[in-house]
Amino acid sequence: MLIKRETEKTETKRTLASGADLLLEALKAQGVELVFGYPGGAVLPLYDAIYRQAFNNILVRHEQAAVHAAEGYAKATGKTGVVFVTSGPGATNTVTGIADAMLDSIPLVVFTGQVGCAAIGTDAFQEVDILSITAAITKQSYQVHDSGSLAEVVKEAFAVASSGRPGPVVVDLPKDVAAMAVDEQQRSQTAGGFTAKTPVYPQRKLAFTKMQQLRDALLRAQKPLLLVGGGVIAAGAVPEFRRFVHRYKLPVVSTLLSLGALPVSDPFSLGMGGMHGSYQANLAFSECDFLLNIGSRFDDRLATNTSQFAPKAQVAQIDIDDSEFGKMILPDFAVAADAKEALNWLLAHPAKTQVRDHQAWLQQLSAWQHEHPQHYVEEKGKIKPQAVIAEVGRLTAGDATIVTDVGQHQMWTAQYYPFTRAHQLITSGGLGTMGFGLPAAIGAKLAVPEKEVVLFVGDGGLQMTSEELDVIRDYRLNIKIILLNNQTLGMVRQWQDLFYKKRRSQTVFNGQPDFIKLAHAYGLKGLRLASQNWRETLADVFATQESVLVEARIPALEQVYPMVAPGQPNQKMLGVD
Amino acid sequence: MHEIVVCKMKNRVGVLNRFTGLLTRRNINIENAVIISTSKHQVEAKVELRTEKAQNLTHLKRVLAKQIDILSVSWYSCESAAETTALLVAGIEKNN
Repeated sequence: MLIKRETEKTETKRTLASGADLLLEALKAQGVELVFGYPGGAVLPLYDAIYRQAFNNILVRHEQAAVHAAEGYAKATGKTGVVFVTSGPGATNTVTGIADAMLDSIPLVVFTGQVGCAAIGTDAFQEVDILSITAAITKQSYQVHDSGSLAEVVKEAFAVASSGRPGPVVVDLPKDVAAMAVDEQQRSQTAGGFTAKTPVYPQRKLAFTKMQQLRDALLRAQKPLLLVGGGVIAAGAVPEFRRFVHRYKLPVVSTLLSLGALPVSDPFSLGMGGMHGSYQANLAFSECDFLLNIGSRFDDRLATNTSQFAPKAQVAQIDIDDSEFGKMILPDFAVAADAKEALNWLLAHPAKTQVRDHQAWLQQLSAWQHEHPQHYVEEKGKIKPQAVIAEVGRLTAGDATIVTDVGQHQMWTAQYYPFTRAHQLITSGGLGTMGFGLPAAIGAKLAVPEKEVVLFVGDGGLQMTSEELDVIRDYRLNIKIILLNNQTLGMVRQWQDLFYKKRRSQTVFNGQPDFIKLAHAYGLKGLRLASQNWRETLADVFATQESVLVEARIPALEQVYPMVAPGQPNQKMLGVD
Repeated sequence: MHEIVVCKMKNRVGVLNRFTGLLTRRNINIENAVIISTSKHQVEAKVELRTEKAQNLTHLKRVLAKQIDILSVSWYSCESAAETTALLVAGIEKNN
């Protein structure tokens, strides 16, 4: 797939191969189809090779966006996202995205340009020690000092990023290494044999006895509960997970990052748990007698009070990263394993005792759902954000790739979009990065062009990376941007109202740009929904095959409920009446 | 309590930076450190830490162990500073 802009010319004539050529060949050997990047002085040799080799580089408008776009690409496909930026400010602009990828376990390889080897350490123009700056937010980092080691470094970087618990890797590339001439032998080494992943971690044997104990305890439970995390999606274990749920008849609570692992409509789905989770999911935590967590890290937005979390339950945890055991909650059963391998074991080793049907427990959960279903109040003449999201869910039959920014709209999306499949929701979970949405949607659309891609974004987040609208125009992408505009920084305003006596410090915008004109300025369609016919307008938007920025002016004081106040146990929810 | 962590690491640029960064973010200070090269490609760091937070240490051990360039982690608790120093020095003499 070659993605080219209209004005771009390609010169295919080969000149003498350089370290940069070698790098691109090593990337091709890894199956990389495109990178997200932005040129600069220190990567001139690299961008020259891109020009000569007609390599796919998606030209973003800010380096932070390159990383978020690569995250969107990686989340939509499960592949490793790749970023090229220059040294100095180009490199420092990637820091937020790298931290975001680290917290959400997204495989990325970020190539940062660096000044020439001889100038390193001299405070040269656009020199920065990006390896030290990113050490705390990367799985691993490398600086390449010899073109002869480039292929090996690329191979290892991809293996580290994608194996075990995925995460970001930085490769710092001095300008002279990229410009260095390479011989034919080095090139042939690069071309062959680098498609196989290097095993970075020793293969771990699944602990048979521990798995048996875990399974037997699960089968003894009267009120079992399954907590599914993003690790199940990262492991490619969704089919096994769904079979396991139905075989063992287990109610399931999702985290934000695992929405879609089980369809919302599945009878065993309780929806999302945690701070803005569903009533039944949060009560299930407090009442279950056995909690099996697969691939979730007991984040503080999920387990809002760890000392009172699942107080009646034995806790079992399956995670590929054993440093998660006891970090937040000490499990009674802990198995360090890939989710797919563990689920396959559970499916292949049924116990001799019969699986209980948990009828009373499932009925109790269902009763809670009926007592307090997810709901919002319709107001005449107003467009409610929850209604817009549900309507988009209907128009896209729950099959769109959904990207969000961060804030209230993100939680409403998690609550009201009818997710049906894995890799469907692309959102910034751990770091909560405003400005993530628009570039991540670009990355997602390039990854899955056959899917409808919908971005839900707030007015605060859109203004953080709105320059990327130009990339949508440039590459003629079809992304439906649903701007839920409450003219405030809604989630912070919600906390101020609830916990700071409504002192709305710096959260209400004093005037805003005209977002429709902004869309027009970037050559995109833009329209504002009117309260009397917004459903029809939305239907028209989704009937088109081009990008549209749709602004919905929503009530400024709309709250996200239910809400568990920070530090409170999960069953203490606000907004449940 | 005086804790000594012994890490065998690949002898790569930046590996100690990663090691100390994991201590820094937990506000753990280094009291003493002995770092020696044990072979062409490996170094061994013996580092004395002082901390009271037991749970933090359990997590820290596991996080250290999963670093790509850290090959093994072992841990010793000492009752006194004298015992700690003796252990560190003995280690050096043994390696010499």
